[in-house]
Amino acid sequence: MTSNAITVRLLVLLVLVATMPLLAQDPRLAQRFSEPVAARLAASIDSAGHEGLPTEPLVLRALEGQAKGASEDQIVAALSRLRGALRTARETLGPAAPSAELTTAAAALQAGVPEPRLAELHQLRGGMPVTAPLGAYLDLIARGAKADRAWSRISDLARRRASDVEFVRLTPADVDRDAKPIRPSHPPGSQGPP
Amino acid sequence: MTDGIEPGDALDRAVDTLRQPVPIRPGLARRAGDRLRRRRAARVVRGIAVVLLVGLIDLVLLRRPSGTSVTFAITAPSVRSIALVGDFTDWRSDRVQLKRTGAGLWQATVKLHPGRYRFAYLVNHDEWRADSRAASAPDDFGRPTSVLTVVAN
Amino acid sequence: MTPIDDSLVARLAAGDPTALAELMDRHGPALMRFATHFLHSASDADEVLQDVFLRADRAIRKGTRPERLDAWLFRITVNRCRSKVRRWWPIISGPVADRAIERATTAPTDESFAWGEEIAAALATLSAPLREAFLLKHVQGLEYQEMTIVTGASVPALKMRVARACEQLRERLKEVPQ
Repeated sequence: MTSNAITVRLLVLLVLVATMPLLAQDPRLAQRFSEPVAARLAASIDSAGHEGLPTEPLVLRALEGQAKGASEDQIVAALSRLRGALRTARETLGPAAPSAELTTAAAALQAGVPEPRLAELHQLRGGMPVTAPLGAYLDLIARGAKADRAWSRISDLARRRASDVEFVRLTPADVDRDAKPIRPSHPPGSQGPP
Repeated sequence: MTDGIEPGDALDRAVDTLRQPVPIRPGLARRAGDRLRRRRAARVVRGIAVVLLVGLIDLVLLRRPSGTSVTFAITAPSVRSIALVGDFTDWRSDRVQLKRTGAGLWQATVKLHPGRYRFAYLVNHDEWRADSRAASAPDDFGRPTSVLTVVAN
Repeated sequence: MTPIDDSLVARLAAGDPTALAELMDRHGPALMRFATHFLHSASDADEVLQDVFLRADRAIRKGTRPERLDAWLFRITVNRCRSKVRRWWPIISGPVADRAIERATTAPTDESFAWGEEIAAALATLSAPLREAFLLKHVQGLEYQEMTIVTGASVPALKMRVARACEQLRERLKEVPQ
């Protein structure tokens, strides 16, 4: 890339950052909800933004509710729950955690992952994001793997500093296979233990 | 641990002090008006900068990595339409329509950047279905929902 | 909403040029007190107030009709204060608090000034959510239900924050010679 092209891109980035206040209001809420409802949701989401929480997952949850025909109260309640989970995620992962990590952590908390497990994974990852291991854990239990076994497998991989791809490739079969107890071997045809 | 305050203790006296009025410097309305004028001027300048660089912004966007192709498929004979709806469509049902590819199978391919996405299928504009091949996701609104993780290659 | 607030909102919506100044006179003092104690800076609080009233004026002229004008203004104020703290947190919690203590110890003859500075220093050691909840509950006198509208937090979370704030302030104020 020529130095002119680099300069141009840096200038564009600077302008984008400088104009972010102009673009701050999310137009999707106004497009999909009546004005009073959009204002109510925007106030709640705006407030979360001021707390330093990512707002995109909240906007998407509101849009999801609208698409699925939920009432205003149901959407507000859903946003409140998600906001609480995002807040807990940030308290656990720290203020420097990027939005994608907070969003996945919040999903994990809402799916029932206890907060101490989140804290433990954060520590095991030693500064690397928990997005991939948490995402893998949620997928494993959603596909029927036992929660404790899945957690044990994820923790082992995290301890070994496994790459994100290794987590995502895990299947419930991997978790069950690794969890099989070691049995004493018997000659073919003989009876196993009762 | 209590949220109340004992009368007479140091905290009670502190609250008494904190409740004293704090004066507002005269001319708040004028200062607010000046601030508004400065903000409007700044907005005009920013607006011009955005207009001038719109072509370059397009160039930057075109050069973004195009994402990973993901094929969504569902078996649904005897339906008229299936829309793919999720985080990547802003939950709009008019963005991605699945096409019938034969024997009751419907498919669509979408390019997604790395991330975790909630989604579902909207069949005949009114019935929500999850993806039986994807992980299921908890749902706040009582509808079947799936979730998909896309990682960077 | 009180009849006076109702009338103020209607006049603002109609573009009455005197309504904004009246709004500031009526609600400014409570907001100024909160913002000053939260930010530990009268000049920052003044900037926040300018912002709050500009936003309120714009929202009302665009059609917003708050159910409770005072709670709504407080919510905007709390949000603006949070924005400022997010940008300037190291200053609020560090050198400002330390300077406050230094002033308190070098001006022992002005007891009420010293006590005020001790309180400010104690407040500054609280995290922003605890400080906010404490000021709204015990200084502004809001009920927890009103505080949920202003802060967006749940009642149990607010009660926990107020209790923690009281505990930490008591500990801090114990160290102050009586």
